[in-house]
Amino acid sequence: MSLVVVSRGVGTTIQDRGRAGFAHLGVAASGAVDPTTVRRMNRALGNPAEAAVLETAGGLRLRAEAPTTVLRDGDIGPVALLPGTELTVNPRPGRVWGYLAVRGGVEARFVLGSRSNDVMSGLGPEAIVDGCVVRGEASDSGAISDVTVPPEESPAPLRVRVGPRVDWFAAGALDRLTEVTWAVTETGRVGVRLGGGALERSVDRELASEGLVPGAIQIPASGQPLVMGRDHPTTGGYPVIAVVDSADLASLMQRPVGSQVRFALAPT
Amino acid sequence: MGALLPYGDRAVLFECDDEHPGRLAERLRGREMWQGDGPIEVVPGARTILLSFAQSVDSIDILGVLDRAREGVGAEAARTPEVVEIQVVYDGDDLPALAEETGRAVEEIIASHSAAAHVVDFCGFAPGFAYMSGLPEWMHVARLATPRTRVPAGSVAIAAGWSAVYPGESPGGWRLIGRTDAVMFDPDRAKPALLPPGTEVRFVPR
Repeated sequence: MSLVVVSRGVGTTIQDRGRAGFAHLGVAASGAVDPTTVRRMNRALGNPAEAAVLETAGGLRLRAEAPTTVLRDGDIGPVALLPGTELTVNPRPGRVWGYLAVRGGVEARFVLGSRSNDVMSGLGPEAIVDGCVVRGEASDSGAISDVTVPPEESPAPLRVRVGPRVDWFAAGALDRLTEVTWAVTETGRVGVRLGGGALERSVDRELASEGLVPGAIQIPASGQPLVMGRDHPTTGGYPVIAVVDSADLASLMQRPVGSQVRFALAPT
Repeated sequence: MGALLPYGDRAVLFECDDEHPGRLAERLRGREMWQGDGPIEVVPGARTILLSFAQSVDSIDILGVLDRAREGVGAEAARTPEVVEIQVVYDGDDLPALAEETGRAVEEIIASHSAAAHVVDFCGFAPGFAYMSGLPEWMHVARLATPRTRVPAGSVAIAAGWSAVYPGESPGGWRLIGRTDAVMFDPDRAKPALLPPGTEVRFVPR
């Protein structure tokens, strides 16, 4: 069960469920951008839910060195690769992040209980580079099954809830957040920057640094929302007006630059 | 008692009144404080504590737990806390400029920094980067207008009323006053961060 990385592609990292529990030491939870997809893939390969996968923004090429069973996001079922077979991993169309799961899970060193590479702090196992070998863990994997690839999500508004500093904004700013059709202007594991509007603050004093969560929508001086991703800074000094629901964050982070984004207040 | 602010579907933010966020956060981390599933993250900020959970926050009696934790912090304050000593060579590049700006001699800056009782309020910026309060008012200086692109690991620095030690090499805008060999963060250590929130710190000139 091993593959050699022919070309590491763009933004390729090892990811699992992350290392929640160390944010008070300045360590983000990290973990796969799209945990639902990873869970589905691991289940299809008979892997434990905590098995690590490769996450890539595209162009990742590998060659099997030994018989290896793998699954890419978008494939209808696991594929048994014979030695010498090459494989390219790209995100599904319209998505930012693609995944490759390996039967047994990608072998890597645990750092603070997780095999996730945190691109902001550099924490995690050795980075994926050209020529490195990706091995599946020799473990008691369960049965392999086909996958049902879920249909493309409808562009429904992403659910948001009120954040701690909503009262630092001008009246109507929260309404504006849900009325504007935003556009992704920058995206990465650290966060997503949105353009197409600006939210006005009513309190100008500096905010003392406070804790951040994935999905927190910070509003910097420019007024343009910055949504925290998996490798987010653990504390920050911009007011958080609202937070994207945990269940909807992956949908936002999977949208390429230029995509539209609508928010709606979740019913309470 | 401070206010509890909403923070999305799985977190709340507690605004502290007179409690020290770092110390109260350590109490809240205790499993025994929570009936059922406690928070997965308890993150102190300069004046707040973020509590984030793996499930919805709607059904959790957070105020009740905060009440009990605050009583506990009062009782603990009577005990002598652990003090971490950090050996410092005070030869930072910004000492001359700081002396000019504050109107105090370099020796006085060093003496005051090493005499002060520092407490870690919170961590952030990078793993193991501890924001320590305890500087005298006259040492509350602004960050550099233009941050350095490279600050060496172990740099001892002050800015905006805080002291800190850079855990690794990084860009940085704090004013450099010295350096230490102490390893601020090592994920393979039983205690990864040398200075978690709530720790008392003394800087010892070498």
